[in-house]
Amino acid sequence: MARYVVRRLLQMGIVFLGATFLLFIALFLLPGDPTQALGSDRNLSPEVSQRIRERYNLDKPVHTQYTLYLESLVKGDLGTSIQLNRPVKSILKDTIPWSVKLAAAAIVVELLIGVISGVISAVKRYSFWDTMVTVSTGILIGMPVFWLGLMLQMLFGVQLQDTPFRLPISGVTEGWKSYVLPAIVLASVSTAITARLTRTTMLEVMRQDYIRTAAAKGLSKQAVTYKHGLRNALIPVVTNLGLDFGTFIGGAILTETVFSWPGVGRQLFLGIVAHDNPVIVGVTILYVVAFMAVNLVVDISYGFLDPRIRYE
Amino acid sequence: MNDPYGASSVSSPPEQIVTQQQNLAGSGAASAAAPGSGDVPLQTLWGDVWRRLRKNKLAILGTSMILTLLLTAIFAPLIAPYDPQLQNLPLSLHPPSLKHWFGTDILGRDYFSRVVYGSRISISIGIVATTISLAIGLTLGAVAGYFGKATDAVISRLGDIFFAFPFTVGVILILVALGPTFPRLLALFIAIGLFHWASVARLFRASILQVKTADYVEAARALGAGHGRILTRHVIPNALAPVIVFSMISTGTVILVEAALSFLGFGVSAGTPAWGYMVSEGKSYMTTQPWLVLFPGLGIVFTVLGFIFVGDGLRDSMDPRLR
Repeated sequence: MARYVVRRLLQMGIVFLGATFLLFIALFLLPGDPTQALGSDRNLSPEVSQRIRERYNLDKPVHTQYTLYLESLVKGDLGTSIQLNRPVKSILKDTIPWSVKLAAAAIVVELLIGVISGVISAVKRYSFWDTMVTVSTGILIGMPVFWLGLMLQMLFGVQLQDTPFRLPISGVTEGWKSYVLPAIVLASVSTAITARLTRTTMLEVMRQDYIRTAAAKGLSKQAVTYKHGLRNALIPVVTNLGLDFGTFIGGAILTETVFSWPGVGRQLFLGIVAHDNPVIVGVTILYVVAFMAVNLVVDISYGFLDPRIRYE
Repeated sequence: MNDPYGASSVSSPPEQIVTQQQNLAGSGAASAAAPGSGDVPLQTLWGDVWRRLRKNKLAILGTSMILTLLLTAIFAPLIAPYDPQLQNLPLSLHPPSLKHWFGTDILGRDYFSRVVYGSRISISIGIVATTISLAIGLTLGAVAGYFGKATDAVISRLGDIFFAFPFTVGVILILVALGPTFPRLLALFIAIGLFHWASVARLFRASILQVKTADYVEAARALGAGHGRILTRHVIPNALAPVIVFSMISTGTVILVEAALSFLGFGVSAGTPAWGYMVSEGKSYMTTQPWLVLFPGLGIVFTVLGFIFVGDGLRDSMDPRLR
């Protein structure tokens, strides 16, 4: 186990270096001068521009920029935003909580709607509800996230404006109500996938010998389905939820942009538009690390949830 | 359909064909006709798949949806009643009518014609970008899975690097890096292909690992077949099934990603009738002219749904245990 974790950590190190280097090459190739974006429609004088370039190491070759960045990263310094003239660390400190809270709300949606509809679908296989779940999950997977967001905004923000069903369509000013639409939109695709996964694993589990044994010893249908069936079927579903948490944090760029959510994803979008390299690098590194960490935790938790799995 | 197992080839004895069928098709002994039993025709995996696919309503619906779209994209100039770029300012923002089925946009351009032309962008990105990722992913996945050891380690880590980026974010960075002067469609092909091959490679590698231990591969090796022959004649054809399903669904995913990129303003160049871009243009008028957001969005949903249905149908036909 310890050996497995060490090997995984080493692999993560390699992937981290590779991913960040790729990122630096992409940003280095980026056309246009990040300093010019500062002057908006007026051009900066060459001297000012040059000073800024020196300050942010933009005048150096890409591998020097990269090693300089890694050096300061080791010291815990993520650089300073060119556009906002603010440490990236403090920007992240302000935005991460909002993204995490939104991701948590999305997980709740996924767990409630996804798992429940998956179970119904499996228990009442081939019924009207089963078909409904199959068709609606297909539509959800096929629907662009941003379009679903706009449609819900139109429905709950415009059409239902004067009814109690009105929901805030942007920002975070209205407490828990502000979370409802963004969380549904962020969770939409994953909820559909969870519903399908729950159905499949549930059907697979219900064919196992121990289910037949449980039924044979005279347990009620409910007890067999929920105590023996659902509990075992939930293992892959729960690990999948873990992975989705990572996806939600990294995949919120669209949802956060559509709903003007003050999280990391929207910050990244603004950073890319403004050519603000330190912000782009900071947020992307956060995504890469979050993704790798969640994967590691999920892989290790497999062993605890299912003792048959052994790590070499 | 062709017989991908080379039933007539010496190195693939009939017994193994049957075993393979049971393993992959999972349909039990009943569907696997015993070879050599006289009048019962020999059935292959793909024969089975084809037979079940024709009975799958969802797959047929999906196929007809994709065909409709392909025809729309190819014959767009014949279907669209107006030039999609023709501006007619007095007609700006007209609601849907008999003359303009989907209304008009801010510049008075016929929205139906623009939606029709939008299918061209989505379909071509979906097909070309998926083909690129398949080409890279299948090659690297096959090499990694078959040769293992250091080759596998290098390719797998390389894949992990691309995998570690959130898909949309990675693609945006490449698109921005290629710059606004780089031809936009080409940039989209490259950026999506570059970040999508890793999923294909990972899936195919796992599938190859499973197949390469099969007895018939061992038999071929014992008969003196080289790496090239074993890979192309035995391992790859048998390992393809999950990738085919994946490629259908991933075409849908790619179309969604392109729409998202164009929506955010990183995709197609301004003014191009692409569905994602049209939604972003229309969203400023959303409260008063909702059709500007509705119709291009429906186009995306229709297209992606078609590919998902076909993918689902294929999967069910290849592994009917789960239906």
